[in-house]
Amino acid sequence: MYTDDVEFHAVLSALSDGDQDAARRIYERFIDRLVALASSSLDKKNQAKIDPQSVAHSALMSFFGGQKDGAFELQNWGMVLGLLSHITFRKCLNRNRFFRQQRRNESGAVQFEDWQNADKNPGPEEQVMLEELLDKALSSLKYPERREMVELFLDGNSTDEVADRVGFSQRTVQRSIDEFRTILQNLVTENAHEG
Amino acid sequence: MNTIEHMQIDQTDVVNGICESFERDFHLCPRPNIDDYVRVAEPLRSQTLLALVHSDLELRLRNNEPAALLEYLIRYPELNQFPNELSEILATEVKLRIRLPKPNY
Repeated sequence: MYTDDVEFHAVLSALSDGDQDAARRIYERFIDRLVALASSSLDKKNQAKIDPQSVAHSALMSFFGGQKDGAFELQNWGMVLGLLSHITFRKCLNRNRFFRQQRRNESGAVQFEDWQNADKNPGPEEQVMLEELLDKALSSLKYPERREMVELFLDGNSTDEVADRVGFSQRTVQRSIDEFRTILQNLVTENAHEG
Repeated sequence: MNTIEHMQIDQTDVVNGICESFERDFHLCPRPNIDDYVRVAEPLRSQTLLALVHSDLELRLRNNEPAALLEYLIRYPELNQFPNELSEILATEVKLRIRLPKPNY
């Protein structure tokens, strides 16, 4: 086995055991590349609002959590980089979507309730936490098809459109969304108790 | 109150689980047969059959294939006992026929 392979397995194994030094080594190894990826993937309009460093940091935290839970089967550093890039990219998409939605809301008619809630929008930390809860709820769904259904729904498709896209009935799509909603609600409640 | 409302939660889970397996297999070749899936849940035959008919009809229409509630009623006359559920299935059929492009048959 090459030295790099030995190091890879030792670091990943230590990370799974919650070793902070292993986490630091991975962080230092990948953070610059992930920040660069986040910088290029975030909408230009959002760059004043979102720090690419915080997206990359959040991606690494998600990865550490998943590795500790045994969610990944990684064989080498290339696979780790691929997975981290994927997580970072998805987080960028989610943030882009969030701010696009916010801009759409701002451009529409302003309701009285919007004024009341104007100072209640999630801050960057709450947003990162929310996305992590969403990721966790999505990965808790039993079947990959259900994850796909919920992701399409979260992308703004109706249940009817999702049913067309995935080849399942609208009732099954609705059940998947209901299941997702229950999981998410439980996670939010747990999180509130922990906080 | 319709048949589905009479069901307990775990029974609903069984029916939904069977229905989802059927839908997962729907795009395989050969097509799954409703009767094979109903047989798995014989004590819940009526509820399972209604759910499977609903899924089969919907997926066929979404796939632009010929399908109509009437054909299922001929094949499974026992379904006539459940007018409430049949009206829901018919509503799905009508909605999809209005929305989807005209079939090739």
